[in-house]
Amino acid sequence: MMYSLIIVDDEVKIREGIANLFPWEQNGFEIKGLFSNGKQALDYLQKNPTDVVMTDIQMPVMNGLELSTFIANEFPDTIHVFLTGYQDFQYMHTAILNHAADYLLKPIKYEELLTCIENIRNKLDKKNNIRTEPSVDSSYYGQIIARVQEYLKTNYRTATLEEAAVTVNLSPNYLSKIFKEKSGMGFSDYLNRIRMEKAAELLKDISYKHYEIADLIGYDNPKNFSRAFKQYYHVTPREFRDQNLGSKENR
Amino acid sequence: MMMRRFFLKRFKQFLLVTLIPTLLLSAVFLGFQFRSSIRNMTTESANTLIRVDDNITNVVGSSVYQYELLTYNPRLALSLKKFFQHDDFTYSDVVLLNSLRVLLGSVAQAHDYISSIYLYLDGFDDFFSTTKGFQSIAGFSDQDWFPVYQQMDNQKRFWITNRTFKEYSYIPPTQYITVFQRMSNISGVIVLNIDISDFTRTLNNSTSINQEYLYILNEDMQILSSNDSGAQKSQLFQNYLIQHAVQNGTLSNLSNTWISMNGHRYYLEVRNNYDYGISYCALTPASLIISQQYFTLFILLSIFLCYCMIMLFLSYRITKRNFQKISDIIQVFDNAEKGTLPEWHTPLVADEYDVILDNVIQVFLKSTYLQRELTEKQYQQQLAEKTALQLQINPHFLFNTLQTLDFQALKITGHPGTMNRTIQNLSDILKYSLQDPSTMVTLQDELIYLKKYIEIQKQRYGNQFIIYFEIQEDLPGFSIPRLLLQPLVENSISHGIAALNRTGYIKVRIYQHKELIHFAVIDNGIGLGKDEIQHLYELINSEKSKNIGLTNVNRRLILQYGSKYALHIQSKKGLCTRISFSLPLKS
Repeated sequence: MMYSLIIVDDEVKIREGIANLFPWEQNGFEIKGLFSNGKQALDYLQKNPTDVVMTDIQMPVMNGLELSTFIANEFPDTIHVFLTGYQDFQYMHTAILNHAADYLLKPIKYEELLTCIENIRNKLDKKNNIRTEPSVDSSYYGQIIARVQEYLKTNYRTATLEEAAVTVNLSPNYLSKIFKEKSGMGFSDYLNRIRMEKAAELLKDISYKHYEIADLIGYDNPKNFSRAFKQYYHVTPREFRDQNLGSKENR
Repeated sequence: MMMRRFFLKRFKQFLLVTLIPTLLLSAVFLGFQFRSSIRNMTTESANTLIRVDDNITNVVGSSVYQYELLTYNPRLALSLKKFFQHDDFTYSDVVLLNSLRVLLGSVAQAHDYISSIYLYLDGFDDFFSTTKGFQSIAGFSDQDWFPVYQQMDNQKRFWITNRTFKEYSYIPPTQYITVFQRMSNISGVIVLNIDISDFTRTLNNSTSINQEYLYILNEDMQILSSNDSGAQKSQLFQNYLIQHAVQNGTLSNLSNTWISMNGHRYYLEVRNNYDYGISYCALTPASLIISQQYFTLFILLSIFLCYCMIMLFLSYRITKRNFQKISDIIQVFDNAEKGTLPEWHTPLVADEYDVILDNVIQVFLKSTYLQRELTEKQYQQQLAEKTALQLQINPHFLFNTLQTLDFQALKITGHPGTMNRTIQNLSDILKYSLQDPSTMVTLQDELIYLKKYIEIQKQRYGNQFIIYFEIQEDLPGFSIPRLLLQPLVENSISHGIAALNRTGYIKVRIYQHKELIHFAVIDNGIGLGKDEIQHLYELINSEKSKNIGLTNVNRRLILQYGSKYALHIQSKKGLCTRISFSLPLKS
């Protein structure tokens, strides 16, 4: 089942961008309309019950705060989310007063939006008593895990859970959960394994200095790298390098 | 140096104020003392003379009187005559004469300075001596009294002369004063020999505490006796008298006057005995009176010295106390200028100047405080204006534009990529910078922001620099003013590393040591020479330079924590640069 969602923003590029560039359908939402101000959205809402309204705040004719108040009073079942470029205490105050579901800062971060809509979907599912056990086959998860692993192998230096989530269009929380379930290993453990293997490989090459290796595999503190390495291999990077060089000579 | 000058000045003042009255009083006191000394001396001298006169009158008078009394006894007189005539003695004559001898001898012995008494009746060749008994004049060791008696005017009943004779041929001659007294009922004379050395002893005993010189003179101004052991002074006095007697005729005129002999001044007291025709003189040297004042002078001098000591001590204490106060005040002013507003405890008010001084200090502190407040307000105003300037570009416009860019990039790549990340990081940095710069953040937030900034810089510089962090693990919650670290890192990248042909390293170190948290950004870039360091210090401390990140950081550190916490720059040309600052753990 798809939930209905409208987007209200006075800038056409932004409302269309949000509508077109996010995998709405994959996450169970259908875009029902795009509006350039609060009045238009309100007119639409009065004729068409809608699950979610995503609204900018500064708009001509009727701004997002007024729209929010109308929604809170007249359509209590409709969930609304603010989009705004800049934090303002007055906005926050109204948002809380009208029980806004979320408050997204522009430019919208992909993973934040993913988390936000996943939360809303869970809320709606609960209300409608629906268990959205995705009916997709197991190869869907297999694909996700494979893509994440691929991502980690190339981006181990800067990799983050958020970025990995974005690459597979899932919220970071959700990705973390299914990654552990399906691969039997935590996301960060997996990332750490890749980094340590890479570190071991680099240590065999004596042209790299120990702190260069730390930087290459994504540690900005060489001491932390040493500690992690020792935890993983039970030897320090220096001992590891000495052992390897020694065994080479013996050969 | 200044302390010394003030000390001397105060000492002088004290001394003048207290010393002048003291000196005046002393002078008056000394004057009185001197006068009373002289009065004392005068009465003493007079008294002494009276005593001496009494003594002599008594002794001589009584001796002579007793002798004469004896001769009133007709029987005794007859016996004496008989005896002198070498007539036959009756038994009673002998008894009478023996008792007379004893009697006369006892009178002579009663006064120790009377050495002998002679009794002579006119017309006889013999005389009676208390020491030798009946003797013939011609055969006696002492003969020259007799001519004196015979030559003397018959009308004269009493006279005194000076004589010298040897009692025995084997002893040196002795000086005598000889008193002659004609007897009244029979013709004859009583001769009294007074040993001058014995008499002088008596005179010595008669002198008062003044230790004056006593002289006894006969009518011819001859000195009969004196208590002056050295004959020199007697000679001088004799000369003086001779000179003076010629001029003035009598001695009485000289009484109670100051005379001058041989350069010394003496007080002269004279007493005349007209019965005996002798005069007594007492000479008191002026130096004696002066020497009596020595004790008083000594006490006054001691008091003066004590005064000086006390004044010295007081001046020292007061000067020291005042300087302590001044140094306290200077300390307070210094601190106020440095930025720490000290508490000023109103001291115990000692005088009206203290009240004024205290007020001045209070006003100064208040105005310093206000000045500081004002400077801070001005700076805050500047920051606010800067923010407002930035806000002339509406943040909504800024972020909406960034959002549009983000979507366009997404449209091109079809999936979030590097460009999106850069736009996101840039947006986060802008949001972080646009917040009120005076609010505090946790170290953790500052580092998150810093890493986003570094990520963007990495996009620009690629692998030209590697940065790593050494952050003490228990510090992320520590709160610091925002945006302190980014300008330091920016400085390292754009001034230290950018010009290098190799990879540069930057290290961010944050650690706690004692009560301070130390922040340091170290790079192995091009480094700075001594002149360049100096120039950079001038730049970051200049009021005018506005657009350099380090200046801003430096000024904010000083404003918030005081000049002790300013930026610190260390560098070696071609090697490395370290820019650091510290913050107090408890602020």
